[in-house]
Amino acid sequence: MIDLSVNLAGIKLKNPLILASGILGLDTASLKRVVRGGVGAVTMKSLTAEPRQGHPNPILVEFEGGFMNAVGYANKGIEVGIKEFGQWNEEVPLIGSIVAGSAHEFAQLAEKIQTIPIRALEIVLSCPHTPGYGLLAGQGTSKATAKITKAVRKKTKLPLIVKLSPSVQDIGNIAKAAEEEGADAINMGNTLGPGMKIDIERASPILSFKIGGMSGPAIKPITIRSVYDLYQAVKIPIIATGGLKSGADVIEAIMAGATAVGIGTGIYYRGINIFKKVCREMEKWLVAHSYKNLLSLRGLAHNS
Amino acid sequence: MKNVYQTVKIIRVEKETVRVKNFVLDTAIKAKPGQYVMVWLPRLNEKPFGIVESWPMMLSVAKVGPFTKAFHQLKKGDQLTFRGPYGKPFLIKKGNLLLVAGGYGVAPLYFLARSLPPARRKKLTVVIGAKTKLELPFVTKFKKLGCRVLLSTNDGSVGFKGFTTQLADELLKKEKFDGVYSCGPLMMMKRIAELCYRSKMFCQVSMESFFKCGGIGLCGECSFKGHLVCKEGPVFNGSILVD
Repeated sequence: MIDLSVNLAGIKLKNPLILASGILGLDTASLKRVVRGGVGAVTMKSLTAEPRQGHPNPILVEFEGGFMNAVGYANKGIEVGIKEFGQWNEEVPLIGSIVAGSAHEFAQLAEKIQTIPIRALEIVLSCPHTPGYGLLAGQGTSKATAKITKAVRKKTKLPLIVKLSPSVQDIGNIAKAAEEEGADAINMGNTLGPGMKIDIERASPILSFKIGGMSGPAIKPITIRSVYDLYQAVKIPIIATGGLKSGADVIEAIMAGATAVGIGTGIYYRGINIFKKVCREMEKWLVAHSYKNLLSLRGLAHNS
Repeated sequence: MKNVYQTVKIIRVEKETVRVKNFVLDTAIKAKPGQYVMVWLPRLNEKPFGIVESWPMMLSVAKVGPFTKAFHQLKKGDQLTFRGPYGKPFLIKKGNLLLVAGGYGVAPLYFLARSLPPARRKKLTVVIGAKTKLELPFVTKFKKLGCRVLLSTNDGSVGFKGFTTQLADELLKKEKFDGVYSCGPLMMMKRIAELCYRSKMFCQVSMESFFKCGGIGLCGECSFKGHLVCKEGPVFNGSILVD
């Protein structure tokens, strides 16, 4: 009997696969479909203090190795979000996600969102394409990460996940800063970049915001390397997110040191049932290699 | 890579009604009735448009906001950039079909009628409704195909005075159809879907929604009761609208 379950900062997941934030997470009905697709936990699309329109279209463009997006945090705001997700009654855990411009605002949102049945809270300090948030607000430094993590930690007892960017050099120290201020897990990470794609017939960048965060298969090696680095830098669990879409990809991330794995763009390539497919692939591999669970694989690549 | 932009020339612009223009493009598209493309106007926005004809490709655009206002300013010879086709097409039944269109919702239904061989077009009954006579699109085009065309206007300026749903209700009571297809305002399609559901008649609706990623199916913006309109639609069985 193969056991795919994992313990992520005290939350038991039936499998290590988490729906990444920003994918199909605007409403409960969509998240419930992802639950039926076999996911271990779902993350809502990040909520802001006020409703946001986001950037005009195009907000997503395909390139050879995946997609680039600049959605600009289109969401209905924390008040509507709390109502939308407040009735979550699935066994599969719901992870809350918030973004804000300052530590103070993050703390306010954390206080509000913990009133609904979320099992963990993710704070995102790493968006590469929205003025006033994430990297464009200077949140991708150790100092800012420490300050924001500390402020949120004071307001909630929920397991706290800090989502970092793969686009900065200093990730080890940034993750350490989050760990020291009480983070329970690191999500590594957000989209890479920003990048740009120009349509040569129109001589114009395609994304309306011109630049966007890269996701999909092209960024997988960066995810693996970042997780590998973090596994040596911090003791708290790591969620590997970025370009992972098969059972082999997930096993690779776990060997690098991940406890769980975020999947987003993979849904485009393999459908909403990607979670069931990846679980079957992992089970097959584990059986073929005489492993009984995922714990025995974690960080294995560090022994070589 | 599937989601690639194509830039083509506009070869003709036709005025359809006071609000609607048809844009004929210097390209053909391999698409089925009910599918749509995402049209990108650089530095402005990107929106979905139902395909009206595939060869040459034609789009029909009603002026409803800033995007379509800019679209209407395009002229013969100008470039148009789009990606697609996207979406699930209509499942076209054999036999007598009833098409119910509200305003510019007529576009994908015209593609459906066009795609049938001439003999079958004569078995089509098309109900087109609008506020006034001036806003009824595609009446001549459907008549040219040999379809039976019934009109309704809210002000009674031509045809039946009232709503398409009343006209469709009467038709469904009197005649037998093998399939009903509807596109237009949500409340109209809901009513049509309910009428068909009650009489156990096959019915499909083409839904409209705000799209962001548009056809990719990742952002979730267009979710309707958990169904992705951009990818799993825009055509759904009418039961999606029946509570």
